[in-house]
Amino acid sequence: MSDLLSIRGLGLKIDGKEILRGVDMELASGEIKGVMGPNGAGKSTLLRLLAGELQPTTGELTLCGQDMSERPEREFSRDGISYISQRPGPFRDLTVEENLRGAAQRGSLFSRKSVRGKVDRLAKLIDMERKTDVVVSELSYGEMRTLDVAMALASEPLLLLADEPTAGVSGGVAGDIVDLFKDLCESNRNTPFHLDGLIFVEHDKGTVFNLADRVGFLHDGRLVVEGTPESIRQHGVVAQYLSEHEFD
Amino acid sequence: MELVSQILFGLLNGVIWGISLALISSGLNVIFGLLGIVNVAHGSFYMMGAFLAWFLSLRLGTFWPALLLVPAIVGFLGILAEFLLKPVEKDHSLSVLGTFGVTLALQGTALVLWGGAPKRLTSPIQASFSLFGTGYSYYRILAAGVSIVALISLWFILERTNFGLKLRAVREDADLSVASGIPVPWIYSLGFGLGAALAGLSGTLVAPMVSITPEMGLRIFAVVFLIVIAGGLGRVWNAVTFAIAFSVVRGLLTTFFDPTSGLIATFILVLVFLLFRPNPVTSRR
Amino acid sequence: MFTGSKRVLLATFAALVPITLIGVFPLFMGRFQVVLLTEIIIWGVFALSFDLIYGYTGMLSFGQSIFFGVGAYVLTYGMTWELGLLLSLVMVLLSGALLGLIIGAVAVKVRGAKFFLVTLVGAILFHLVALDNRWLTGGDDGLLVPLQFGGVVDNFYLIYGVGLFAALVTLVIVRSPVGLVFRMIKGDKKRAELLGYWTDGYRILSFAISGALAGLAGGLYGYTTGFVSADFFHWSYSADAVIWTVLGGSGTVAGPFIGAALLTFIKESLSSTWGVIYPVFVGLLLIGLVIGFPGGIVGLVKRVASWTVSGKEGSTDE
Repeated sequence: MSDLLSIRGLGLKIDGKEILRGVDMELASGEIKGVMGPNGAGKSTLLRLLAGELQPTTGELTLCGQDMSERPEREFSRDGISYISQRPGPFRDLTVEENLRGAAQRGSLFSRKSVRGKVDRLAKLIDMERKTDVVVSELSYGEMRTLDVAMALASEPLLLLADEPTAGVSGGVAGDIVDLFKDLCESNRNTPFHLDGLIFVEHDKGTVFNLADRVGFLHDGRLVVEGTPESIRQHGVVAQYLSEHEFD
Repeated sequence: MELVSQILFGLLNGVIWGISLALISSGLNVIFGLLGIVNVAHGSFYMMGAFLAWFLSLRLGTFWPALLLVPAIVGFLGILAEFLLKPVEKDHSLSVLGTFGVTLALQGTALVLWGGAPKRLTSPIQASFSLFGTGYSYYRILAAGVSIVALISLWFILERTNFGLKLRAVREDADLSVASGIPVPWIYSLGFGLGAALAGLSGTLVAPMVSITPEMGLRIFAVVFLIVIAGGLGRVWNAVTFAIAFSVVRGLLTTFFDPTSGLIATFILVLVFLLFRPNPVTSRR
Repeated sequence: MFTGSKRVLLATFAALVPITLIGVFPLFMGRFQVVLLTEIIIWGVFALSFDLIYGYTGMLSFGQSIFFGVGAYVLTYGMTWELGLLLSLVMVLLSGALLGLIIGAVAVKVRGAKFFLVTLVGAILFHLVALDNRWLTGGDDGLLVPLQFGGVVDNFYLIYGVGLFAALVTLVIVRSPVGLVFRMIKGDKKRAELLGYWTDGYRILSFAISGALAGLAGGLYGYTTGFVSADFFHWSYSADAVIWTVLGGSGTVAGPFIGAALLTFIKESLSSTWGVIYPVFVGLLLIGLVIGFPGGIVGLVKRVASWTVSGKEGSTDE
């Protein structure tokens, strides 16, 4: 199996409403995939299914050849999937250091030294070494988002799922996050934080076409088209969507 | 023959008590089920209702005015409590703590004003008839009748008035409620007052049938909460069914066991139901 | 501004002063005051057991009286069977933890208001069952605890030592990696699960530790008063633990002791005429705390301290 992630016929029904239907998708090792589409197309739902937060009604989900469909949510993180949800997720009453430590200590609860080292590296990675004692509720929105990224990396995942990681974040910080993603995916396997794959949802076209190797377009719960940024622009539905959102 | 009439009596008496229980439960269902406020003080509103009914009956020399006056006073107390706790009413833990404070304050007030010795109120209707060989007061039938009228009125308010519509919608769609007239904070206040008034009415109706003590509210509160949660939040009619079912089961169990064992058995039954009731939600949340 | 280690030093110093003062208290005070202080320490341990599951793990439980009652009876039977105090207390701790595991495993299935209700009904059930089984509990007439202590002051130092031990163990737990997971679960259970933690397991663990502590308090109380009864299971004991913790400051180790001390002291010093209004006072106090000072006394002190010391720097839980 060369694919990092593979999903087949993934569907979700809630109260008789079909949110997702028959989605097929592969993610090759080292690939960055962008997911776009109009509001309510099922983009966030797709990520939540991949993260284990929701359970699919139909279809299968394999990570590194391992079937994940029936596993409890917490095992997704243990098996190498990290997830950044749409809303900032750090624990608001804890400090930056406690948040990082909480994310980093899973699996090595009592080896304080290695946890401490990892926390330091993460704080350095996101440039927050001076803010480790600050309580999260006092951080800016952009800082919370950046902390989200660091916490997601703490479990040293193979695959990162990010739901609008730069939405609502100021231009500079958003650029930093995008650059960080690029570095993590391009970096050597032996560097401390390395990503084998990234799937992200984004409204901002610029970010999608800049960051993604391949782009999927969701509409009404279906994956309408998938391909390289260049090829996908030509597709009818996508072209229409792009022209309607020219000034977003 | 003896056993059959015992069972029949247990059943009917259970239904009559169940209707009273349904009245106080429907009050909590408005507050907890519709507004989402965890109101631990609900039993205390019921207790205050019983005490006020006893007090007013002695002062006025007649029971009947209490049927209107007491719900009004207790409803006002409810509005006052909700006003105090407005800042924390969305937080489950804090509203449990806050309304528990209200419970202690009301219970303490009753103790200071009227003392801890059980009070008895003579029934306003003395006549009784024979029900399966046991004497049964007409007043109990009347109390059940008044409760049913109140429940139907509640149904009318919830389903047929503008206020009821807002009350049912306020939690899901706060914006919508703002847009269409009645300010949301008022809906919360009035809804809480309505729920408290129902508990007050229930307390008034049972006042001539039970011994009135400051602790009576706490005893009934857990039962009422169980009924509302077991029946499903916001589903007023389920709660009515459950209240009657609970009361009947309890009545039958106490026919065959001693009262304490009967109570233990009922609580275990409801607890099991509470813990293992399947959640009709598809997600893992 | 204080860096981490300086703050720890300061907190240690701030804790050592009252601990020392309490330690020398019996040298200067009369019998009545020593008995009162002994009782306060027991209530502090009891409130601390509640604080662990509420203030740290975020579960509002009214079931603490279950463990209080069980602890008291286990100690009574331990002493009756002449196992000695130490072994009896170990049995109390073990039975509290075991019961905590069992009740926790059941109660964590539900959340929010349902959880509160399940624990409350659990407490009511245990009370009823204890009342109903006189052969075991003596009902509301209770049982006498065979005593073996030398006197009021000896007993004080026993309770003082056990209380210190309980506070220290709790402090170590809440500052450990496990304690961090407890606090994460309080903040956002869903998110902790997403980070890979088996949150229900941690909640059950929190319950077990809390059960052991609450049982310990019950055992010590029975030992001190020489009498236990079915009323030890009454849920109003749970309610007391809740109020003490909220007043002193939930999510801190010192808070429960401060709250228990203050309210027990107030209750004892009210004359019989004013004693009647004590429940009203506590009720209004609780409302006021919930609205105005959710951090309790310790929270207030911390806020004032951070204003005066460093203007803005946020302080963390101790």
